[in-house]
Amino acid sequence: MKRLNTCIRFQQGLFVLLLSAVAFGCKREPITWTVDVALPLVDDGWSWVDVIEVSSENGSIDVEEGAPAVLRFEGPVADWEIPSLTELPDTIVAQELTPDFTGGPFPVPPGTVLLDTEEDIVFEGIDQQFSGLVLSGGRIDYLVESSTNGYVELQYDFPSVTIGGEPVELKVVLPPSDGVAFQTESGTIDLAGAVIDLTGVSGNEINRIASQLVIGTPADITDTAQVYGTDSIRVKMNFQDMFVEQVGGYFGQETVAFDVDKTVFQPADFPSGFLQIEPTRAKLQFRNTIAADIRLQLDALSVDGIAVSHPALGIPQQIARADWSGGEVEPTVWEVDLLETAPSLFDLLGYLPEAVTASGEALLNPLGDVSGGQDFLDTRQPPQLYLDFEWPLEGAVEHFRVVRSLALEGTDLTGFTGELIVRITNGYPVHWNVTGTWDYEDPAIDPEVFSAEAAAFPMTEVTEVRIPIDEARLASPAILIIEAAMTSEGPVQFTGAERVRLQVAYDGTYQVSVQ
Amino acid sequence: MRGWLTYLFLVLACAAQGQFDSLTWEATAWGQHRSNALSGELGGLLIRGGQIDRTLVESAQAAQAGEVGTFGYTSGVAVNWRSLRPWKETEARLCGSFQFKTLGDIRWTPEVFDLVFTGNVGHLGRWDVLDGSRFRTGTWIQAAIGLEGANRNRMELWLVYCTQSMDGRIRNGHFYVSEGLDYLTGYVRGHMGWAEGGSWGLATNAEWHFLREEAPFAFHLRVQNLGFTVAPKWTELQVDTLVETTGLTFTGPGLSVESLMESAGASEIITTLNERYRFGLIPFRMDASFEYPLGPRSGWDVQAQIGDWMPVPRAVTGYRRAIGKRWQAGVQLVAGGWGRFRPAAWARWRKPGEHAWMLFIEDPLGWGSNAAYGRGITLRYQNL
Repeated sequence: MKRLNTCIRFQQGLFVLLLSAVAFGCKREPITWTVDVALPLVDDGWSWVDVIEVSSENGSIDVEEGAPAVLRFEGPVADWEIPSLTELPDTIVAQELTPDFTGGPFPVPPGTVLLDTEEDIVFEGIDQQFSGLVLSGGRIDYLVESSTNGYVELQYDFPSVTIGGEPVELKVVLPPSDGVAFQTESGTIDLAGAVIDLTGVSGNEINRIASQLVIGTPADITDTAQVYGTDSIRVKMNFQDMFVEQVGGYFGQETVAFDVDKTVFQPADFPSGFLQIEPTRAKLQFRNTIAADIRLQLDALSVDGIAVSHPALGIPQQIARADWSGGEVEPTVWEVDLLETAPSLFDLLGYLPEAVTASGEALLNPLGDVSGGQDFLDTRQPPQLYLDFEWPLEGAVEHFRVVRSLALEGTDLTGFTGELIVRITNGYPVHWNVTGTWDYEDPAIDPEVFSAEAAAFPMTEVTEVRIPIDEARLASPAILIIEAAMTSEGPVQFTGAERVRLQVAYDGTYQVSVQ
Repeated sequence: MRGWLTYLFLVLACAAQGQFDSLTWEATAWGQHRSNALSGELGGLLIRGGQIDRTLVESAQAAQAGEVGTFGYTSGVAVNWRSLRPWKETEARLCGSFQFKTLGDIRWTPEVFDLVFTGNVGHLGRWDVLDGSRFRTGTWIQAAIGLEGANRNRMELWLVYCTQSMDGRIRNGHFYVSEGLDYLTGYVRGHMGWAEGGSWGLATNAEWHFLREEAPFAFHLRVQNLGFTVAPKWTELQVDTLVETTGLTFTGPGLSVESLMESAGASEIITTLNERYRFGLIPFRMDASFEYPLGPRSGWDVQAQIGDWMPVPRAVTGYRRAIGKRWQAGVQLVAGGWGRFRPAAWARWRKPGEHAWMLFIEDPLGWGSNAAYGRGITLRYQNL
């Protein structure tokens, strides 16, 4: 018995010890300490290719190194759109079947055809004579209604509309109506990628879709419909939002405005300065990719409202149709030499204008239907203004200012304090003045302004700026505005190998917290 | 596996039935932690939480010097028993044990300690080697049955249940940041794994005692926890990644600010390995001790221990003396294990023919000073 009591006392003690350990373990607070951290964060640089690639979305641009380097750009600068060829008007087709008797009911056994008709759906509001097209998008919203006291089957076939090689068809079976309300069914047929033959039932029409509508009672449902003279079956097809990918036919003689307004230098990004631009080649081409003749007349060319004259302005240019016979487009090109403008277009561009504007008009098929309805447009390859440009990188740069801003979201880093060390190595033969403003959303924090100066290459000294950062500054959303001003001492020659290197490192203290 | 082991243990337990009505036993509870670098104050903050002052970190750096830093802890409860009746007309008697034990071992290179607790500013231009940093923990519940022969020589078979185990290790690694803050390289190859549930296993304990009336000394040899466990589901995160950069580009291929912001974080460099079964050895321990009488009431002890995940063997030497008829006490010097030289003391009180209590204190300064590098206590009750 004594041993047993000892044993029980021992177990009680052990239990108390374990309980204490658990209670002690629950009272844990976070472990915190500070560490001094120094790390490289960013090492990036900008060569000519990096700078130019940003400004070119479609064209081929490169810099050929040399003395001087030569910048070449070849690519589209503007597309020409003809809305009447690229978007079809919405079209509604409605059919209603009513018995040609009064009274009733008359029994209609299963499998009876009440209506079987072939007819063309005519697209209204199209001035052109389309014979076929491919849609990039579009849909048919349909609604079928029946007041018949019996099952009704409706089949609407569009043999001239195919998607993936299969003709589009609508098959609906409506249950019997209660005699008070119509039985209805509605839905949507997606027409993206649909190939549409617009020559109608006869095959010789234009702007028409052949269709066959069959209405009757379903053969596989053993129910005899009771039809009254007041019953009706209605179907409504709404062709909507149809956008064209390819279209063929005769496009008519339509005059389309030809206005191009091209942004060159955004004032917010390029507030002021002068850049000497003296290209050796600057050809502006109009590339006709439509299989239809065009008569193009450019009436005016201006730079920020300053009119520029050119021998080609005001003179109609007959541009022959593109050749699509091989499946691939062979555009017809009309070209003007921009070096022949007066005053020089590029002298004006050197002062960093906001926009270059060209205006005129173009007439489709000026000679009528010379192709016999074989006009063709693929909207994926629209007519374009195309620039072929070559510029030896040589000239003066005067107070050329570039402004960039970066929105920074707040970051929660408790106990963070230190410096961002920003180092700039300038490889361009121009002098840089950089001013940065870190503007915090929190009004309690003063904006941080820092400036740096980088001498023109080959003065290879590294410019270093230290920007204080801390927990409060990082927590506040902010805008970082960097303004760089560049000046050369007279004309300079760029070799194409120039590069600016930006390095950012962090040196500071961080309070670590482990829960 | 689990069912088979339980069945085996039940068979042995049934065989022992009838032996338990007359037995003697002893219970031991112990706990200790020790480090060669972390003071009691710093260790306490790491366990309980709070702000770690830089002076504490610097003092730990000074204590660690250029050696590998170590911290270990062990605690548990053990009950050993033996029957007073002979086993089937032999000289042997049934014996057994029950033990609950938890063990942890953490090691780090000086570079890892500096990088974690002070940062890398003092290391610019230096190659920091991270190889060999490791931590592992485990908790076991064990029950054993065996036979005890003459001189209390004893052999036991343990059924082991490991409630949790974890193992993390940096096998290779380095870190370097240039003084100009324009180059960084870091490499880590390592793993961290843990058992998703409890694991079962078997182990043996053996004790051999050289006790002769004609010999003026005694020698004891003990091997504990020599065995294995099988974890039914083991998860291991593995990393083998080299980063080398002069700084990130804002955008572009490879490592950039943009790709880093769009990345899924550390999961992109970690490989998760799930093993159906994992075989693991239980940390065993071997003790060898030698006792030599210096007189009729005093003696000299030497003890060496290896195993239990200790980074170096633990050696103990001491002087003991009987005081009166009931008291016995001793002082010792302890070296090795997870820490440096430290003193220890013990006292034993017994009531002849009934029971005895023994209290062992390792590093008594650790109980009163935050500057000590650990402390330990063992309390034992013996039913005589």
